[in-house]
Amino acid sequence: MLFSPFVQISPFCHQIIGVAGHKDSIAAEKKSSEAMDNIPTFNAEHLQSNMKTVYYSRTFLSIIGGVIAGIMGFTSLTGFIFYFLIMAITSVGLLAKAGFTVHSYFDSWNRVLLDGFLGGLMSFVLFWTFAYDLVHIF
Amino acid sequence: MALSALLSPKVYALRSVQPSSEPIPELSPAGDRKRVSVEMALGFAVGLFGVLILFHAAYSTIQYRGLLKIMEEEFSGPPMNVVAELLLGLVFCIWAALTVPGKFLSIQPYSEENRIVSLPANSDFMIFNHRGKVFPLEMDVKLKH
Repeated sequence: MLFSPFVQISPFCHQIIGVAGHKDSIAAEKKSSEAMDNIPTFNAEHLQSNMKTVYYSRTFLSIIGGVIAGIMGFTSLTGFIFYFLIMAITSVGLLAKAGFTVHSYFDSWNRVLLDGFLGGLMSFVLFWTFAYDLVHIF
Repeated sequence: MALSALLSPKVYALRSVQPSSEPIPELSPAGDRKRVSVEMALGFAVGLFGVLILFHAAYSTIQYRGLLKIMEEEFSGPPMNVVAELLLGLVFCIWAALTVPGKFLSIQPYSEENRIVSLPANSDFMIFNHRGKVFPLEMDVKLKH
């Protein structure tokens, strides 16, 4: 009776639904990674919500970092180093937001530290060139 | 009049089909409902303020470049106050980026805020022959009110 609202996907399947995927109507889904004695399970809907939060934070800070790099007049390599610096600061900020207890909000360290690292690079370059043109060329 | 007499038993029949008791209020948070809390609005305001500071810094740099063009000097970097302004704007935007998208939700199945304490309203469609039986049976879970 306690497990009735939970629908379990196959025990050997460790597939993560993409961020743009459409959520099911069931309140909570569980995934397990092995069918041994203890089954580490987690609430997949909350995990997806947490990953969406991380994605939004990283995208916004990529854009802001791009604008700052453009205003400061960074060119070529300095700009990309600045991007990685901004992403590192974002990772530290997200760790602080999670209270440094990653296992109660994510299933591995990589998901909060490395997940969207290169995803914001295109947005960064776009706003970097935009701000650089606006401030230094026109 | 005859029409209303014809209609009223139908209305009565409709009313009796509807469930008489209202559904049990769900204590677990619904996934679709999204409310803007006070912290989120404050983070939004701080982020907007940070972006405005960045715009002001950009305008200052444009003016500084105009000045350099008049004095025919090279642009090596924005002046110190603009750099300080950019850093302040960055701090505000970092704070906003960590507060606005929402809190982290716990993924532990047995944590306090993940307790399912109510029956879902569609109890006719609940099935029990799923694969939940591979979960180890925990006998120490107590029923709380």
